[in-house]
Amino acid sequence: MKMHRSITDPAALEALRRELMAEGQAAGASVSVCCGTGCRASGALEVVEAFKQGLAARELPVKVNTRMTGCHGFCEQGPLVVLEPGNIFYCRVQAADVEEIISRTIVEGQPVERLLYLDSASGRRILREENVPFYRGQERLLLAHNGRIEPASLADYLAVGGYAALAKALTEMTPEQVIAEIKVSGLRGRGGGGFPTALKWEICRRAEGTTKYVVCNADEGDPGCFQDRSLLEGNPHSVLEGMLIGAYAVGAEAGYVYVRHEYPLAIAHLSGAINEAREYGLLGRGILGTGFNFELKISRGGGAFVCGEETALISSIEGITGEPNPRPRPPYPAVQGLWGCPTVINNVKTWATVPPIINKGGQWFAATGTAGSKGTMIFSLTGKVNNTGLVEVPMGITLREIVFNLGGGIRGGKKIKAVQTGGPAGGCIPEALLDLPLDYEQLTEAGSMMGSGGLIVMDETTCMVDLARYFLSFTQDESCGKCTPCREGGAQLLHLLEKITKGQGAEEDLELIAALSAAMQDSSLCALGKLAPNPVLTTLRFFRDEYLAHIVEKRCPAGVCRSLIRYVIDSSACTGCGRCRRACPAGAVQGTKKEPHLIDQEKCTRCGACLEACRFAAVLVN
Amino acid sequence: MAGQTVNFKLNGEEIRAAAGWTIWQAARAAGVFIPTLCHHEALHPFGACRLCVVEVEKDGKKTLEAACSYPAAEGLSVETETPRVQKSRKMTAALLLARCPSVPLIRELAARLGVAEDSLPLKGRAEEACILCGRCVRVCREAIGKRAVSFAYRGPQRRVSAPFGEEAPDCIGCTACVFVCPTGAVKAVRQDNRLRLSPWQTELPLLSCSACGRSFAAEKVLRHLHGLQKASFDPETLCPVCRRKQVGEALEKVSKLGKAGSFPPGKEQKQFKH
Repeated sequence: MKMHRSITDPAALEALRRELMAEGQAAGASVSVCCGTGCRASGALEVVEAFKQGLAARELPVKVNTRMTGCHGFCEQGPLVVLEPGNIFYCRVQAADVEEIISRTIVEGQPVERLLYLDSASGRRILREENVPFYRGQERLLLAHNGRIEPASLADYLAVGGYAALAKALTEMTPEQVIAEIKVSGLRGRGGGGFPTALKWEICRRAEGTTKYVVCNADEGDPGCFQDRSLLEGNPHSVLEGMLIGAYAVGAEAGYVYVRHEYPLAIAHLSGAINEAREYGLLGRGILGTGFNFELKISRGGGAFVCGEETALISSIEGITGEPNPRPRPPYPAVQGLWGCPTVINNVKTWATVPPIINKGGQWFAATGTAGSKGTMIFSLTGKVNNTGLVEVPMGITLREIVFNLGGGIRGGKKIKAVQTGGPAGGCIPEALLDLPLDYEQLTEAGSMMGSGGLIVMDETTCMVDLARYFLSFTQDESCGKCTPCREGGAQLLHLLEKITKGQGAEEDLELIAALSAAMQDSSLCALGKLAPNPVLTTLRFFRDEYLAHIVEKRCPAGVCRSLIRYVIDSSACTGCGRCRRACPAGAVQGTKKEPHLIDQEKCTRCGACLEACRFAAVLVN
Repeated sequence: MAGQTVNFKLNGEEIRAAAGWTIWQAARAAGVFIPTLCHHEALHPFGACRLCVVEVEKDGKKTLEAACSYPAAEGLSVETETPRVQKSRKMTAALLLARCPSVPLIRELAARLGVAEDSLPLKGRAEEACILCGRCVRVCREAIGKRAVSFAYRGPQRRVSAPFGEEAPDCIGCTACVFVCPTGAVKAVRQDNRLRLSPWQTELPLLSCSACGRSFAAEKVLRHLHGLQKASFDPETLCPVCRRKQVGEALEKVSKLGKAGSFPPGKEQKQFKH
């Protein structure tokens, strides 16, 4: 790869880009292996190695590049491999499949049928990535390049048009014009708050002070959420470019990326990107030959959920305990933030959205979405849905479209019950509201929130009381414990929910739950405590009958709450195979071979191992 | 900013506050009582106990805010006793009572706000006295300049502790933490020429007065104070009482040398008692 040591002006940047693109086209063919954290766990690195060795061992008429790319999003089907030309999409590829892919597809130009995606709706195999239903319904703006580039490679990022927005902003636009363009786009904070990004930048730009900071909040901590992680892992330069443009707009010369220590790959790729950008003069002094200076550092968080909260995040970067400060707003961090200086804190996705807006204009961005929520949003689709993974969709899409069109419906043909949006501090949207268009206002109105974009799908086997208990136990664990309502109120609330799931609840407990939730919402110090009751309040609002079933009838309709269920064996269906007896960790299943078995309720711990083990549907939950 | 004032409404009346004051400071100046627990005037606002919440109307939106930390600002409308405020305070008191069922201060507060004894199901240990207001942690850091004690753990497990739950190596035994603790959770016991601080599990030797022989302060405190004054430390030192007595005697000698009764008029010579 021919790359000059330093990119000193926009013309040099464009010349280099043309060179790199020509080089890419000359290569002709490529194998992109998804090396996101999910695919790595299922063997992607071995697949890459097999491709490298297999391709090196052959004399091929055209050069084939093997690329280790970031997350493609369809984690359910990983490891994923995409072949160019043709955008041929293989899923669940293992190292042993590679030889066949090379000889069949790369040499002979024929697909390997068994590795193609099987569409369960039509029963047909699908050849190209763009025709897979999971991708077809998406509008990929931020994730567009994730599957095409090597994450920390500046050359790859330049080849797909990277840093053109930075060059445009620095040479053709004033900081005020950059902010105006963001304002036209209608971009709102993607971390969950939905605060207008342009307004935040404007406040910071106007704030007094010569030292200003930009911060990228990558303290993603919601259970089941990994979109920020995937962006940092898969396309760190896009976040960097967004921050550079933001820094130029607000007048900052230094920035931090606050990323959790549990994201080692994201940190590695981000550090790689920062180092390379610095080497080529895209970070440092006099960027692209202009008077703009910028330096960026990574600040690693210890994995405290509450550090995603702005004031706690600031404390953590400053080196003191990461807990919320009673910094009333105003002044917002945009006026008085890191070390008392004006600071813009934006989510990973927000920063990554900036370059496309500058490239294509605010008007173009605002054409997608609803009246109040513009552009696209990345959701982590998880839970009892067939196609789990990352989906980037236009704002205003309905939950039903996401779950059934992109997600491929509910696993095992079961019935959908609800979708938890916005993570543990979000709320539960029942099946009846699935046609709700997803935007900031609509979700808030339904008692939930956009949050960082988590979508957890639940079916009829999910107990809503147990779900509320689970999310509250998470927020209680992650509460810093500073203020009384969150610490003490949360503990009381959790105790009440545990009582109910154990069948010891009383009807008046529901009133106390409402009162405690209201107190937490009203008087907690930070958003964690204010939002923590959301799962409780929404489940109570939409699934009150389930609470009452636990309290009055001492019954768990979903068959989840251990104290309220019994596992029994249907003697007419039991063949006496003994699988359940061997699976039971408590020795509660008794019986002789080929005779119907029995469960000793005294010994049974209600772990459900027998139910999972049984092949004849003879274990029942009462 | 100095000398500037802001005007805002407090319980319907227009009041003036110095710029930089919190709502609580402005209310106190106006004679309006707002209850507090974690707040201490010598320390920075902390906003943790949430007892001081007031209803603040700003740009047409009404929210509950902690008066101890929310800055008084032009155009605010603040109400200190609305039903929403009272409800919130009552719940806060109920939560603290459930945590610390036998602390007199909390019991009085709960009774005053009409909280029933068993209003919440989860009960704290009878001997639990700490409400986690953090005054001890803050006074150590902000006023003394040490960081001998801190918060440990998080969520419901949060507690105040010396590092790793062991003896606090940075503690100088100044007992400021004992002085600011509102509930008596932090205690100091002086016995056998030693100072024992709980819950810090810290024990420090006390220095004896070279005149009267009574032990009076931890040696580390005196070393710290001498350090602040850039003076060298002399272990042969006097207790405050003896020192005052010595100074008094010296002054008396001086005044006898001059004219009798040369103390400034109106100021009586104080009697030193041992």
